[in-house]
Amino acid sequence: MSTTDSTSEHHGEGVKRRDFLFIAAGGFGAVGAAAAVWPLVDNLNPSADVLALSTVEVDISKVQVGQSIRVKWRGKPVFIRHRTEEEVANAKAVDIKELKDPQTDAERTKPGHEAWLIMVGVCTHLGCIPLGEQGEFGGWFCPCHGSDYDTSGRIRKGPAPTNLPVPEYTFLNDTRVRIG
Amino acid sequence: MNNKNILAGIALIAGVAVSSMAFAATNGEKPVHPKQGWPHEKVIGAHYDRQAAQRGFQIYREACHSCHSLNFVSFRQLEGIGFSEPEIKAIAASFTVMGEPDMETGDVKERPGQPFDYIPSTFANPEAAAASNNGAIPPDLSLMVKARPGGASYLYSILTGYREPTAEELKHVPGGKIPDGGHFNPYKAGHVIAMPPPLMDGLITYTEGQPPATVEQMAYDVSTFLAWAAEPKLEQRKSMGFVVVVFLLILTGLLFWSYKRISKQVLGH
Amino acid sequence: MHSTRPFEPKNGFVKWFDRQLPLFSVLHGALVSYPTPKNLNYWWSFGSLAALMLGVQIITGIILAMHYTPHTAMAFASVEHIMRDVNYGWLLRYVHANGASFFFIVVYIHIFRGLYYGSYKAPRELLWMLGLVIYLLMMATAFMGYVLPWGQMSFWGATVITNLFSAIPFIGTDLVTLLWGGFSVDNPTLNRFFSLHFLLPFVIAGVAILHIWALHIPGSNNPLGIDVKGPQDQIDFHPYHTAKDAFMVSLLLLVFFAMVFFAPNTLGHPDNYIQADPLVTPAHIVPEWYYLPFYAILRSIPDKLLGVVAMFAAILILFALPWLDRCKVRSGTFRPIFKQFYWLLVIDVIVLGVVGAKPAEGVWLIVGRIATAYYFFHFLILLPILSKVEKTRPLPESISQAVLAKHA
Repeated sequence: MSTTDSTSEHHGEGVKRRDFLFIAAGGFGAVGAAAAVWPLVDNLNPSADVLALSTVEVDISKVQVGQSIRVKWRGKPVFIRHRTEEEVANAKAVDIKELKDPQTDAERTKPGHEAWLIMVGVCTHLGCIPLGEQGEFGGWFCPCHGSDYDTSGRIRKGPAPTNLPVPEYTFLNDTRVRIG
Repeated sequence: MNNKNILAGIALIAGVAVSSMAFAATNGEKPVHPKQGWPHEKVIGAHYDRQAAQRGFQIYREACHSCHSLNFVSFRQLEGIGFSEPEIKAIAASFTVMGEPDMETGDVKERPGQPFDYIPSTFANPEAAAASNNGAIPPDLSLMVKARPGGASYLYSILTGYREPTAEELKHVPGGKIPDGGHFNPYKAGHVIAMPPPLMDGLITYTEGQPPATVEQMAYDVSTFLAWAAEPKLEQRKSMGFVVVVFLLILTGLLFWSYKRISKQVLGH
Repeated sequence: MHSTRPFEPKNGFVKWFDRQLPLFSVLHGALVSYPTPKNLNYWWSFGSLAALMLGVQIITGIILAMHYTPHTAMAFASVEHIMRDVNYGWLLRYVHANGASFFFIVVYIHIFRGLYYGSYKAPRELLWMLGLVIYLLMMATAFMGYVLPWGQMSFWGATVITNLFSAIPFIGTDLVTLLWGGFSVDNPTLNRFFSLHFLLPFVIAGVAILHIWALHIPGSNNPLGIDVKGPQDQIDFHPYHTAKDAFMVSLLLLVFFAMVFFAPNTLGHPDNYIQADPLVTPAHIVPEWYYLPFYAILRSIPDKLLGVVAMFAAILILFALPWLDRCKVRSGTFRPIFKQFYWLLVIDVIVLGVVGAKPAEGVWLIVGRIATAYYFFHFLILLPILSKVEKTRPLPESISQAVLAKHA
């Protein structure tokens, strides 16, 4: 009887050791496989040269009042509009309670540079480029599905859910802006 | 069972493959190594000598750039040899690059470089480069260290190898004499190189606290810089490689042990 | 082969799925219950390893294709873009470039294992020939892949190899123009090579499935080369071979990644880091190492057409091997004379590889010619004669008996 006990005990330990070994090998293998997946995924993220282009500096000295320019930033158009006093006044006069995406004009411009409206020119509905100085509100009008933006680029009518987004930007001086 | 034989056969194949690679290399002299060694050629803890690489960039700029382009290196990448962001901006701005078309006139004007720009070439095209260099196009240096057998040591040897040939050596030069516009260099295949000796003692003024600008030191520095330019991900590659190899050693051990256990269970041996 | 362990799924979904499409049954039959001879050695793992390398090449290749530009003006720069800017691009490219070499190493071992143990003999002739088709497709795929980085060796390798076809009488020149899509290797050539380099690996995968299918009908050969007599000679693929192959995979990856991370350019050629220049030929044009034996055969024959014919014949001759070597005994272990000549063949192929890397002149030319002559002699004359005259050693009665005797 004692013989049987000792062999079965011995056997039991063997099983445990084996289990541990297989779990360790399997675990290691799984960790390795998971680690190998990361380079296969991360290469799809923006590469270093794409990230490096994610800031642009623009000279705005030649943009007259009432004019606007478009620059490409991250593959998308950015509208830079030198607004007339009337447009600024119209934008400020809106009661933001009436807006779908409530934002004051001041929140969308930089203090001291209120005449300049800088925003990403991509309709927040489905990605078309709105046309400037058109539509009921004198701002932008998207021809794809009829979204209408005001002189502050805020959505006023149509299917778009939010205002035209304002990118991160800084005035380096009165005539140079860095976007991004 | 002939496992041993087969194993020997494979070892033979591998050995022959490697030795035939070495043979196919070059008929220039075997490159010499600098006395400092190359810290980036170490297996463990490989790194580029940052100070040397930064001095090397200065040499590239002042002594090489007028003839040799560096097309695949952009200013932003200089972060890899330890330049800070403001330094990179300043370096980029000190180069003139072709800008984007003017929005009103369509003219392309030159502008100061920005970090995302690539180091501009002195010549507009290979033809212009050839015209300014007696018909020989100075090769782009971005990948020079990987494009020559011997790597950084080859470059170092070429830069420090200029001298007068002995009468014996001259016999081995095709035609028996150095052709016009050629220079003797024992490390170059064929022993004649079109490039005049680019470095001489004191050619570059290093900033204070840096070693004296001897030809050896400058050759070491610029070779370090160009080794980095050719393989900027080397540090990441080797440090990651260490982890991967250690990991696989353990995994292989565990799997071998597991296999032996299973073999014992199902085959009995 | 009759499975020793029938597939009896417990999972309801698997049951439902398998009733309508027996995918799980097939996989179970291939990876779990496939009965194998008990005495397979480590060399039998190289089939699995080849499948692994094909997978590695396809996965990294698909990703590299997302970042690569197949245009002569941008190809070289796009590879540098991968090396410098794409996240882990350097790793993916080095894995892919070295992966090709390792795929060939594994497949060469696999082929030479088959040659030693007579795995090409009946009833496995079709299995052998399907393997050769895979090998040919691999050569074509690797050749076109090497052109894509558009370095000097890419360009001149492509020029030299495509010019082989100009040796064909009457239509040669027109055929080469057709291959190039122009009057030299140029943008149309690069574009079609990219397209085909993307396509062919999937063809390889398809033929590999046929290859495995053709393996599972007669079952695996074994080091003794004798037929399986019954279940006592066999063992299920899982867990024995899955564990064994997992170990071998890990061992292969260890060597492979040591190469990728610490010596990734060793098997490449420095000239391929110089952008292709149609006006300058490199001093020595050397093909990738895995073509060198055939390249040596090509150069050892001093006639353009005959050289090309000999080179292709050197590969195609292997298709006839099951009928050239008619010896009933499969395994070289029991063929004392064959065994000696087998190793002579191995050395011969290595010598051809070395000659292929040397300039075709002087003593290397002579060595190359002798080695070429032996290669053809071995297959065309020696093996048919040997299969008639060789006195083979007695075969063991059964696999299980031999295994028992070995571990007694």
